[in-house]
Amino acid sequence: MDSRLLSGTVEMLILEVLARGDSYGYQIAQTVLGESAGYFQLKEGSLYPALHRLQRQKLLKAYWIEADTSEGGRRRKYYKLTPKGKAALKSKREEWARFAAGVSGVLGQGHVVA
Amino acid sequence: MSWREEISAGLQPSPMPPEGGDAAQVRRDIIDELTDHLECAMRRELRMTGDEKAARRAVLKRFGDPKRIACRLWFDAMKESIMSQRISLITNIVLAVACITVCIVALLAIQRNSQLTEAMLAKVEAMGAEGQTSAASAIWAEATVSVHKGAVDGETIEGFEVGISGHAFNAGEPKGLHEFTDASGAVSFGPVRPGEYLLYSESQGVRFRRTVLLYPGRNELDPIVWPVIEAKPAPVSFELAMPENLRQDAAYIVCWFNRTPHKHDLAAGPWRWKTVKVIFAPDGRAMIVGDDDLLFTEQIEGLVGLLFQTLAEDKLRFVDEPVLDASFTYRLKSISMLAPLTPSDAERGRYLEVRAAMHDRDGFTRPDAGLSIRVGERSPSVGISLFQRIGKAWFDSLPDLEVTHGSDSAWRLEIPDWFADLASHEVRKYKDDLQRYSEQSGT
Repeated sequence: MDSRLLSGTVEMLILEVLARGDSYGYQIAQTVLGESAGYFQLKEGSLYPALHRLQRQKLLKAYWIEADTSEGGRRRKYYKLTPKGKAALKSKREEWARFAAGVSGVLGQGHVVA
Repeated sequence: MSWREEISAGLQPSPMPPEGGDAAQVRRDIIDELTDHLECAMRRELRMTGDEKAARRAVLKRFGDPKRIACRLWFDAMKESIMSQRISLITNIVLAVACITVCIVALLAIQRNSQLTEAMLAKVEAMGAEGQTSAASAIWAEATVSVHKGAVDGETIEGFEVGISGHAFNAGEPKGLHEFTDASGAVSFGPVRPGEYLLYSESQGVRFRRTVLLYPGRNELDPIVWPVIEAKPAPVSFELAMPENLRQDAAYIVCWFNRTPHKHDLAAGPWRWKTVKVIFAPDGRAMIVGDDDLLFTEQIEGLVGLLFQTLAEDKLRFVDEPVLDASFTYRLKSISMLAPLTPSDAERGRYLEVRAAMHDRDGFTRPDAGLSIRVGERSPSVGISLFQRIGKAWFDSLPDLEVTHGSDSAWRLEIPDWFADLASHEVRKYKDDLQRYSEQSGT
């Protein structure tokens, strides 16, 4: 996939995953990559720059939770959507819908003509 | 190497802590977050493969380079702080440069202003000097006058002494200057303060007087036209009729004449008299005294305030036929009697003077002036109003003495009774006072 399309799309997918509930990096990556069925062919690590960027933009808020002792007593960083993040997600959904409709319309017309 | 160690290897300690936070905390958060992810992924792969090495390779394949990811996260976290610090640093540098620039500009402006101020001061001083020069010409006056002989268009006179004297308009100190006419017959005065001055000259027994106003700047005065007078000597015979009572006092009689040129000799100009004295000895002989003053005022001890006249009798030169300058009119101005109070006074030439003088007989000033009578420097001891009235009428009735070259001139004076009585009375009174003073003092 074109990296220019990927940048904005990954952020929207992260917001979409967190709209379902708070989550941490590994879980978010599994959800995004799993539900996209490997389409994006992303490295799991590449999600973290997007997560931190959304955090700096105040679209996400982070908090730490001590993980289970069975997992070595590590700290785990959870993310949650902020109100600003929710508004941004709504805006991105609408934008994506218009984009998809526009692209589909063009592709569909071109397909008819062709 | 554990995941934590591998991630930490990609994060070097930051030389600049993030704004509002702890760089070490940010670094620890990144390591913890990525370690948690890798540990989770490792457990997943181990469940699938059971081989730790294969699981580790699979984790790294799906995650990417942990060091690079950690480094990017660190850079992104620090970038804002670093940029903020850089912006702050650049801002401070710009402000410092601006301050230095402002200081330099201000310093240059001050130096420029100082130079301008000095230039302006120099200009003001120069203008002040010019102003003073202008002011000087504005507050000083110069006068030029030419002297001609006989008429305004007549021949100019070189080496003629002309003077001015008077006061400035603002009543400064009186100023008097004498100058001699140059080859062109002109004379210049000044600079003097503008004011009212008397322009005067004297020659051949004639005085010239004219009041002039000198205004700031150059004043071209009306020329002085000197009369052409042939002042040739002419013998004059004087005759004095001395009353008996004065003759007994061995008194001298002194007559003051105002001498003025004949009117037909005056071309122009306000000419004034010059005084000529004629002294009559007790025996009636006459002597003409010109500029040599033979009378000296003296204060006598014991007669406070009564001045005496000392007559330099050794200088008296009485002749049978006195000579006066012709072409002049002689008018009697005053008459004095000089009488000694004691024989010793007579020997020492010390006399009490009784004088009757007409003021301003020339008529140029104070035409209403009258007769004054003085005894020494005092008023007479008797009432003088009657004497003044009678005496003025007597002076007015006296004819002038016209002395003309080529013709004989004679003048006869009869001492009037009013003057003889007054003088005799005063002499007797002071003789008695002096006698009493001598008796009281035992001298």
